[in-house]
Amino acid sequence: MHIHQSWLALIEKRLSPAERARAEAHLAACPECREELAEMRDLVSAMEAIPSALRAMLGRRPSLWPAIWARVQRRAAAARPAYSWQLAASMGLVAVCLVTLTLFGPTLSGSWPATIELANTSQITLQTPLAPHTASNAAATARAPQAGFPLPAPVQTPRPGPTG
Amino acid sequence: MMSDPTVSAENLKDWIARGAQGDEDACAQLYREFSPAVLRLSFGLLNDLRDAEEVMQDAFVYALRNLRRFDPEKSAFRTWLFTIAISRCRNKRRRKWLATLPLSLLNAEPAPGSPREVEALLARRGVRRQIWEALQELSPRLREALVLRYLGNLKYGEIGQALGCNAKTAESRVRLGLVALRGTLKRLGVEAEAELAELSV
Repeated sequence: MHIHQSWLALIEKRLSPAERARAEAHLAACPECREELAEMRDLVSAMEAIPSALRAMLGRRPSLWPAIWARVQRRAAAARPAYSWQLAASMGLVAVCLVTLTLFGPTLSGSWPATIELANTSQITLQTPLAPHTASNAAATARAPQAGFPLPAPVQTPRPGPTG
Repeated sequence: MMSDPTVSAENLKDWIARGAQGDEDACAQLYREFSPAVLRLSFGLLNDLRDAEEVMQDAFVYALRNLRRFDPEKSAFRTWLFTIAISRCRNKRRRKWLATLPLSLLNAEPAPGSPREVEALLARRGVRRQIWEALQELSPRLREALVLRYLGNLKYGEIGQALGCNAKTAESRVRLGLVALRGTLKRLGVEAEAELAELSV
C-alpha cells in the first residue's frame, strides 16, 4: 500500500491518529513514498508562499476604488429614475381613475354613451332629414327619458322608400 | 498558510447590511478587506495584471450592486466574491481565446506584472523557480482548484461551493493539480537544462 491517496491529508495534518500511524509505518519502509512525500511537501510550501510574494507586488497598484464606486453609483442612478418615473406615472394614473370613478361614477354609469348617441342622433336627424332611421337611433330615442336631462322630441322624418 | 487579515463576523454583517442600503463607507470597507484576495485570485487565473484588475473591478461592481442577493446561509462572503470573480475570469479567458490580434500589433504597452516579473519576484522571496509558469500550464479546472486553495486560502468545502462540486472532489482536484504541477515543473526543468546545455556548447 503506497500513500498516493493520503499524502495531502498527511501534509495538512488531517489524518486521524490511526491513519497517521499506518501512513508513517509505510513511509518508514518505502523510500519511493518518502521521496514523493518530500517533493509534495516542498511544492505545497512553494504554493503557500505565493500569496505573500504577490501581496508585495499587487499592493503597490493604485486603488481602483474610486472607479468602482463611480460605476456602482452610475448604475444605481441609471436604474433609479426610470423605475421611479414609471412607478409615479402608474400610481398617478391609478389615482386619477379612482377619483374620477368615485366622484362621477354613479352619475355617468350607464347614461353617458346613450346621451352622446342621442344628442348626435338628434342633430343629424335635424340637419339631414333623409338620414336613415336606424335601429340604434330608435334604441337611443327609447332610452332618452332615462338620460337625466331634457332633450327635444325626435323629429319624424320621412323614411326613404324601398329602392331596387 | 498566510492569510489576509480577517474581519469579525459582526463587522462583516454590518458592512453588508449597510452596503446593501448604498452606504459608501461600508462598501469601501468591503473593498479594502476583500479586494487583495480577489485580485490575487484573478491574477493567478489569468496571468495578466490588467485583465485581473478589470475582473476585480467588474466583480466588485456586481457584488456591491447585488449585496441583497448574498445569502450567508449558502456561503461565506469571500467565497461568494470568489465565485463571481471566477465566472468573470472564465469569460475573460474565453474572449482572449477568441481574440486573434496580438497586443503587439495594436501598439499596446507591455502589461505590468508580466510572467517573468512574477517569476523574478517569487524567486527573490525564495519561491521555487518556474512554479508560476507551471501553474499557468495546468488545465483550467486544476488551476482553479489550486488557485482557490493556495492563493485564495479557501477550505475544501468552500472550494467546492465556488466550483460547484463537493469537498471531496475539490480535494481531489487540488491533489491532482499538485501532481500535475510537479510533472510540469520536472518537464520545464529538463527543458531549461537542455537550453542551458545548448548555450554552453
